[in-house]
Amino acid sequence: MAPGRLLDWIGDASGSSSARHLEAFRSLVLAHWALQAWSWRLEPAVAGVPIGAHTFAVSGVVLTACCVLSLGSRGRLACIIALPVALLCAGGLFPFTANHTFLALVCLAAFALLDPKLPEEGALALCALRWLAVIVFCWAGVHKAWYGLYFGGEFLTWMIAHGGERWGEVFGLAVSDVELARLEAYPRYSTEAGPYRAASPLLVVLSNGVWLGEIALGLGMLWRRTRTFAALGAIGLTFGIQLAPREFMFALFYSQLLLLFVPGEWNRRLLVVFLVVYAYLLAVLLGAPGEFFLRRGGTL
Amino acid sequence: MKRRVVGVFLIAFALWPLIHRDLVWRYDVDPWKLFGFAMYSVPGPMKTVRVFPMSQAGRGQMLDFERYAPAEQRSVDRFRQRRRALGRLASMEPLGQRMLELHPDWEGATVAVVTLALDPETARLQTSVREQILWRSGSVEPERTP
Repeated sequence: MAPGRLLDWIGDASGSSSARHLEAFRSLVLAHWALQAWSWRLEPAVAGVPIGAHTFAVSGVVLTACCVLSLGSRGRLACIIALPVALLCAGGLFPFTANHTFLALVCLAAFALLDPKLPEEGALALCALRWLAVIVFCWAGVHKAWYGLYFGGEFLTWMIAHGGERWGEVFGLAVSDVELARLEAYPRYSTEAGPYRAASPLLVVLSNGVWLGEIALGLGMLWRRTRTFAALGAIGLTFGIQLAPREFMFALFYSQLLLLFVPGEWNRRLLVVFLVVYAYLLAVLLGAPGEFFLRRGGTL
Repeated sequence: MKRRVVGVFLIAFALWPLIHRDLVWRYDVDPWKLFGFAMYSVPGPMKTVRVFPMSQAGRGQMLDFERYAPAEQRSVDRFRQRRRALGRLASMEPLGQRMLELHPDWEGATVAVVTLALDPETARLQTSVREQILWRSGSVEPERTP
């Protein structure tokens, strides 16, 4: 298959995804960036990051302004202004930059390059963003299998034992009390402790379901017939995975990316709701109740 | 033109995780970092840094981290963070040089990084150590597994 056709393969032949839907997602990308910048200002997670809190604060102001600007008719200009600021933040955090920050940077760059109002560029933007979602999801699943810590539930077992109480609360439900007690008794840094292998069949099924699900749903998004189901399944799986680490900021952003596969223009319909959620997450960072939704000290 | 830019970028984006996997194998780069999308594949890297004074007589007693001066603690912590993310791509040399600056009485310094990783075969933690020796005379031994 020619590369051009491969690029279009994932597009929207019916043209049902309107420019306004992409514009809504564009505003959400900017909202995500603004919240990220504020989170780095308010919760520095790694010592030795070369750019200071002051830079993140200025970036937060600029990116918030860009988000507001994008809600009017100047969305592309907002992205062109925001891109160097986002690059400064992401580059300043290197090598600690998180994968989702990189993904958000790529989405922002796509909107700086392509104008959804122009039919040809809008169609290209939709294809590109959908491909990003598929590639990320498939690779996340492939890596989990490749590193070999999911077949026997090793990763989840380790995280139940030492990943903090949130992992125990969520995935501990899949193991017996006896097994939970065994895991929690293991000293964290001992080479004698273990084996970190799940005795519970349910945990083994869950563990293998994660990587298989990521690959299957990622591939499912490639075909028109399975696309909607796969995207909705992927949103469910993303939030399911995030129940323990609670990186809901990422889950929210990635779900918005996945909603580009679902008919009904849900990013446009839910734009105000999503913006309110982002505002609420910012309020949580500032001290409002809602610790459940944020992983403190891990917002990179 | 824009179509070509997008196409080339997507191909690179799709292939980068393969190179990333190689970087993890070869240099012990953190799977969670550098945009390989291998987050949650392994527990976050567990690395500790140890520093030993060196003399012609051999290796002295390990520096007690609790008794480090703040400048030493900062240097060690920054190196540890970088080493966690970049693996062996983060050289031990700058930390060794810094330690020699902070301790004029040392003839040399050994920097060692101890890594604990969950082994898929045994499902237990496995330890690996890498170290490098720097001498005040300027000679630097290559990083190695002791």
